[in-house]
Amino acid sequence: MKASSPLFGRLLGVLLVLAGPSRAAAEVTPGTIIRDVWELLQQQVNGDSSRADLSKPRPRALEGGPGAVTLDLDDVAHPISLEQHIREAVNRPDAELRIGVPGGQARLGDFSIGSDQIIKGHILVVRGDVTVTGRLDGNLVTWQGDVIVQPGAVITGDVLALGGEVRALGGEITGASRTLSAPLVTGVVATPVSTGARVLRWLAGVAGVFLMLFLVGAGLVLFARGPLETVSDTVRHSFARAFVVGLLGQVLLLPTFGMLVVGLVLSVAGILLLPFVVVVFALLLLASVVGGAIAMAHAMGETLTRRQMARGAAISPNSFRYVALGLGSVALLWLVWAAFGWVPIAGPLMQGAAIIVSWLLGSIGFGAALLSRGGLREHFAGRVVPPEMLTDEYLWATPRFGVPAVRRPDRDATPRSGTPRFPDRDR
Amino acid sequence: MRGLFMLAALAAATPATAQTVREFSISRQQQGEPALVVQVDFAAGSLALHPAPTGTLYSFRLTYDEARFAPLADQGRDGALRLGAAALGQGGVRVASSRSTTQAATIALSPQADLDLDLRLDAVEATLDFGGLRLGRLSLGASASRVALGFGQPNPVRCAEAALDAGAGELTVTGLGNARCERLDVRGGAGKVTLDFAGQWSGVMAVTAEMKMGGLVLRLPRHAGVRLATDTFLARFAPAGLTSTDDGHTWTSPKFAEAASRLEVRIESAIGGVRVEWID
Repeated sequence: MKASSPLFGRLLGVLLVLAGPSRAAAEVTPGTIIRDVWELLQQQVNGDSSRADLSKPRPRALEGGPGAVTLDLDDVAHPISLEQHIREAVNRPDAELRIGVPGGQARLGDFSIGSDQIIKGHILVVRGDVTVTGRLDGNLVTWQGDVIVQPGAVITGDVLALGGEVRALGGEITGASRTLSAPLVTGVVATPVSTGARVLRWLAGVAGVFLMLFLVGAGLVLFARGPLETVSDTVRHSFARAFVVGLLGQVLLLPTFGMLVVGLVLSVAGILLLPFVVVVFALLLLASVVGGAIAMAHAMGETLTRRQMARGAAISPNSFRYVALGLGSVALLWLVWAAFGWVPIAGPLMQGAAIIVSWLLGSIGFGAALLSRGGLREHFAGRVVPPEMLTDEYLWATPRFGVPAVRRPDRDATPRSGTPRFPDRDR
Repeated sequence: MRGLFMLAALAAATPATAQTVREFSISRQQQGEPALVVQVDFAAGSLALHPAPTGTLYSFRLTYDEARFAPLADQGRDGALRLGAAALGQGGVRVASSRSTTQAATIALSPQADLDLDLRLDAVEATLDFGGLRLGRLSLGASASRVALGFGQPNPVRCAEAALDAGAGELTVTGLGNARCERLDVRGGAGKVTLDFAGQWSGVMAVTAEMKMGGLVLRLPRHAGVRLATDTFLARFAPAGLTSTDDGHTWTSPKFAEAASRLEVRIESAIGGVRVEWID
């Protein structure tokens, strides 16, 4: 309560000032009230009490001389650097302020130049408004104060209001009038999030991503089952090769794209085709990465399912299950990170592990997609056993000793159609 | 999987879009200055330019993010006034919601002084109203901006030349008849350029439009005599209401010979389209 008392007092001060007779009725609008209250609150939050000090200091001249800060006001065309110098000079209690202005004067609090007055030299006014009705031969600078130029007034130099306004109600200003407002922080400020909320957010994020991937995978199973299984088989049968190709594919991706673009822009027809080629390239890349990752998950799920079935588990083997099981296995890593990622040291380690494993699996899937040309090149999937032996019944229901040995066919015996031929049996 | 990682990382990232905004303004009263040379350099944000009220030579008000930009307002040794916002080390265009872009500037220029105006805009949404300004020369260079430039009222003085470079952005110029420019050079990159020649016509205006990949729309007044020479490569040209005179590269309006005010247009276009529309 103690801490809020000054704030409350100052808020009351704002209201009193707004309601007071010193403020012209035309100036008091809902906008100005909101702006003043907002600035006050913001300065309280930022710990900047300089502008919030609504009880203006008692007007007096600031002394220069030995020990005083000297501010040169000959050139006020660079308000940002001048503001920095003034900020450093006034960053002390009012009673200790000592500022000297070569060829001019510095003042604290409100100041006015009467209609019968002629002042020569620059003037700096700190925390006060300046009302000019007479003549000033020099520059005028205010720090957290307005400049009011009344009809008949003459200022033969520049005017600069730092943290204030220049209100030219008439009169003549020979030089330029500049204003620079106080900094105002806008936008979304990051607020601290509790550990529980962060864990929940991460869990939701991971669940959402994997759910989305599963939906894409389900779509692939429904509409592109053949290519998906071919890429999945390529992963299982050419694991290392798929990984190497995946790595190379990542390295050569940008150079390939660059060469493609350069090659196209060399011809007029190529320039016309360029936008379409870029879009097709991006789509193919996306399909290869996402499809490869899902095929990788399919391969993992299939392997796990077959092991379970070999142990006698009565489960239904299908591609939906494979994809779900594979994605679930990877998701497990990320879920562990989401749940315990806030733990110091262990959290980043878990995140690193999840990233590396995901990248490895993604690279293998990407490589398999490249090797099998997106699942269109079936014979690369390593299907060297007859189709009838690829049934699930063969893999888990047939006794081990009943499995006939099959000799790998010659390279030439595999036709382009992808249907394997078996020279021994054909003969 | 890499995409998966990126999504997860994005989900885990904490947004921090706070920025420190400041307002800067400068103005100068008119004290009999006969001419003003103004150079505007504006990197990003929105810009509005219009005539200043009587008694004001110029005024410039800028709202900017002080971490990324600094106000430009100085008088060069050549006497030219430079206004705008210069990008600092972290400047440039932030890839974020347009609502978070707070950079905005308003410039007002005196209709009593002869103006020589040079504008350099990068990623800017600009509305430039030159109606009533004494424009002696105009140069506009835009990179990736959307510029709407208008001459709502006639230019009190003859404009020697106007050079407009639309870059990869969109440029719409209206009321070119009020501009009173003897020569207009327009260059377009990949964006769309619309030239509206409405207004109070007098004399002859020579227009050169050099387009690369963008489209060009010409809105021509029916009362003016128009001769159009085209040099197109793969561009489509729709010469509605014009008749070809010789080899199919020169086109004229029906009243070209007897028209008091004439418009000579030369178009070079590589790829894109050129369309002619008539206005009453």
